[in-house]
Amino acid sequence: MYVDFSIRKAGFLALIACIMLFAVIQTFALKEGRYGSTPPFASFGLMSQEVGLRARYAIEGSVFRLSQAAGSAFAFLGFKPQTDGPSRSARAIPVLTYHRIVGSSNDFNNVTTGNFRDQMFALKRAGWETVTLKEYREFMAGTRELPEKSFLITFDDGAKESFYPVDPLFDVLGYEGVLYVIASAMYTPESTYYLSPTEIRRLLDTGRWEIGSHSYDGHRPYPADAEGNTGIFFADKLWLEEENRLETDKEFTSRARDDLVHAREVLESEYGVLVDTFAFPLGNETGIEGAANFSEGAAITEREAKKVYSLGFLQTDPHRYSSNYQSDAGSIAYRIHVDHDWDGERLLRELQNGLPKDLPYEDDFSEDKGWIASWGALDLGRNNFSLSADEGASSASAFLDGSKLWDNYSFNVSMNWHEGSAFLIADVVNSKTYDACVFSNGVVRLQTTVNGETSTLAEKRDPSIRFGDGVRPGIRVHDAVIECLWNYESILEAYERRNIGGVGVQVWNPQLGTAALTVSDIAVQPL
Amino acid sequence: MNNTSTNISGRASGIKEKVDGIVSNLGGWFFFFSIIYVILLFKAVTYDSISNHVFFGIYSLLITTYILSRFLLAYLHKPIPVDLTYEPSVTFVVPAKDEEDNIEETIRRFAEVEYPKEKIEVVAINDGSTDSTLERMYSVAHEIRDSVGRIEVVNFQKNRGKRYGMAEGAKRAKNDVIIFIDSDSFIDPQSVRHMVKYFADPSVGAVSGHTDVWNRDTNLLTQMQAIRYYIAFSVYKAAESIFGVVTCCPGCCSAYRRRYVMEFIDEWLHQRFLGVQCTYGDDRSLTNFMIRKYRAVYSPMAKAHTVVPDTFQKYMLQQQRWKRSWIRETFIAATFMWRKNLVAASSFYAYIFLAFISPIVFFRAVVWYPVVHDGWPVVYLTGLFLMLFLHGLYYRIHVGARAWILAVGSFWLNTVILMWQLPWAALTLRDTRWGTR
Repeated sequence: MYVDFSIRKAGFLALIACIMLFAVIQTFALKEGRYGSTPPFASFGLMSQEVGLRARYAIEGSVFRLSQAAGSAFAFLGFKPQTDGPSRSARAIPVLTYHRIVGSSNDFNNVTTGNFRDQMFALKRAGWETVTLKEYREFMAGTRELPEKSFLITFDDGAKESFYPVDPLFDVLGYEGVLYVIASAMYTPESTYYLSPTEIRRLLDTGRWEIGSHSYDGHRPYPADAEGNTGIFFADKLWLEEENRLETDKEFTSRARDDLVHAREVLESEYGVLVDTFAFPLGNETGIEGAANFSEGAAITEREAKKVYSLGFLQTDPHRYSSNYQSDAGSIAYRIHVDHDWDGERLLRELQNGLPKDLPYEDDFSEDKGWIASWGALDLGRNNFSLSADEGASSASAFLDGSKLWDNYSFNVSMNWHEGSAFLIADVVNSKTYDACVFSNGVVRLQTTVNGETSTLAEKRDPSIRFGDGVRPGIRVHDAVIECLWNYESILEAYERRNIGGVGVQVWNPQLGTAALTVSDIAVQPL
Repeated sequence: MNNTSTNISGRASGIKEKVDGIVSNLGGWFFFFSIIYVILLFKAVTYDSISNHVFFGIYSLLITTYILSRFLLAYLHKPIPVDLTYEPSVTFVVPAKDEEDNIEETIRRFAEVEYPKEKIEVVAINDGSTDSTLERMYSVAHEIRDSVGRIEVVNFQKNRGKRYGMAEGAKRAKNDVIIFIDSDSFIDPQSVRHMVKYFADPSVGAVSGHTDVWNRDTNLLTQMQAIRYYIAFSVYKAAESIFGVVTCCPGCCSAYRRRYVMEFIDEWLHQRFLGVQCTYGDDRSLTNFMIRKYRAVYSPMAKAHTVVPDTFQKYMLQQQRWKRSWIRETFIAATFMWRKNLVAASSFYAYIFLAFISPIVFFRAVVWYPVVHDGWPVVYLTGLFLMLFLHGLYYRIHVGARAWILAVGSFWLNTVILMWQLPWAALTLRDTRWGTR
């Protein structure tokens, strides 16, 4: 045997063996501590991504700060006027919904890493800062002031891709987020998709994240009839296979409540934090239809959620203002879904347009200042506001985002009007609650609409009201008075004003698909 | 001259140099062990998939264990000091055919070895060359006649084959130790002492020198072969040497104890396998006869250089010949290897298993799996790469920065192309057309 098993060599080998063993065990312990039950290769991928992004954002973050510092230095020296006015307090807070931040976009739900980065830097550059849930709720309760450009970011489902690509960027920008966790999903063994409890704990430890409830198990499709068609957990009655029937109302209610309660219990006991907010899963006013076999389902879920959580988030829609106002503070708030194809500029415009606007207000439509088409088609091209009904519809409606807090104003437009009725609407609370002056050829009518129910307050024939180019109708609201204007002259009034709110335009023509109106400019003057 | 650097590094064995060497290679060793760490992690992580497929799981664990154990054993290979009082007489035997370019340098080097000249004998055999090999043999014999004890040139009128040449040389040799040198190989001056020192142990019958590639810088192919040679000797032969069962003391530079060789020289000369006269793999075959009874070891300090094929076609033909002789001699060795040391024997049989299974595993991972299951062979290719990288780093640490990264490419070539030569060689075992000389 030509073997040299001297103390030196044996010792060296023993040392190497110990180091190797230690290193391997430590590696697994580290993986367990940071990634929990995530499979090893996936953990390695996440680690690489995290390290890569942290390095990248650290560099981009310092470049960004440097450019900001240089910018303010130039401004200080007087080379550039300071664009921001005096800092104001927030009057409304927009809330953003994201799901996953993905490498390449393969569906409409998820934003790419590149777009997300662009969005966050754009918001930061424009002076937007995130708020925590606590700050949001104190603001809503009126006990805290926040800077004007404050917003809340939420991520639904509790997926790995909601945390790993995001946190390094938040770290650099000083942003904070809220993760809405599907409580049952985090226990998916060896998941490469959902965050494991270990990872959620680490997420909470960063101090940049809070969590909320996104139901216990309310996402999977469930059978909703004997044929096996599926329904939505929180909106449809489920099919009970053994008993060959649908759930009763009572069974639906208790199932919904049990899930809501269970989710909160599980999350609070797992992480030892308060879980007092809820993000409604799909099916609640999101436009996704399930079996639609129980029309009260969604409302019952909202009612039950109110008993379990002090705040629930639904998705906003074109029927309401995009931001959440103190005046509406309640147990439901609305979120803006960030679409997969929005770049930073687009998201910034959405948030800026949703900011409460000041009076007087003028608009020549050279840019979109936040007009929301509740129904019908709105075209803001060619420096005009062209509203037209969809095919098969008799009307179209749009209102101005950010005008919700306006009170005591007169709203005048200049428009090309050749058929049907033109509605100038004021006191817009949402697309179904407002006051309106309805101009038809030779007739004006003053009406109020509350939750879609319209009642006429006054009506008058007036031959001076005629189709034509550049006609000037208007509406004036102050105190309890609503007035209709034609060529700035008050021609009809009523004294039953109950709401305050912003402005909008509607068009109506009984012949389907023909209603259309072009407005060239508007002016809203405070009284 | 390419051997000057070897001379210098050969002398540089002081403790200070050694410490300097370790320190300057600290980064290299760190990477080396880091790769091992990653390989271990890899194995631990893929354990589930390994245990799901017993057969391929065993292959996976076995090949890792085999390769890592080679490095471990090579590290434990015992260096032997030169004993200046032990000076057996030596005979250089050089069979040559059509080697007019190199034969003079090969023989001239025997006059330069650091050994008492009266104890040196040279037997050069011209195996029916059609070029000027014979004339050059005579002229160089004349040139060095005063620097060696005795020199003899034997001329075969007709080509008889390398094996006959070696046997003829062995029979004519009068000294204790025969050193076979290929006619395109060049021995270093210190190498004789480093080879004969092992023969002080009477159980040792053969000593393999360490052969590096002479024409390393000719092209990419020879560079890659340089790396393969280095690893094959300093890791794989060193590991076999621990147990005295080096399975091939190659013809380029190996020493044999003449008395032991004489016991089986005729049996070896007329060796037949599957009914066919054996005309290739003479060195492996001779070693195989030796290790039945005696020991064969590897002497890392006995340095020589050899000319390797510099075209791909020549290289493939050489590899094909080697593979066939490997199959034949491994089959023979398998009949007695189990009597040897447990570790040596199990390594030997494990390697047979691995060599024959690796084409199947490669096919399964790279062709079958992607086609049928639509999955990339990430684990297999990463594992393969890590192993190759490990060899590359070893070469980088010991030889220096030049071309080390090519090790990866070299072993790729070995794995991807040469792997398939083994089954092919097995099928064409009886075909003797490519026999050398």
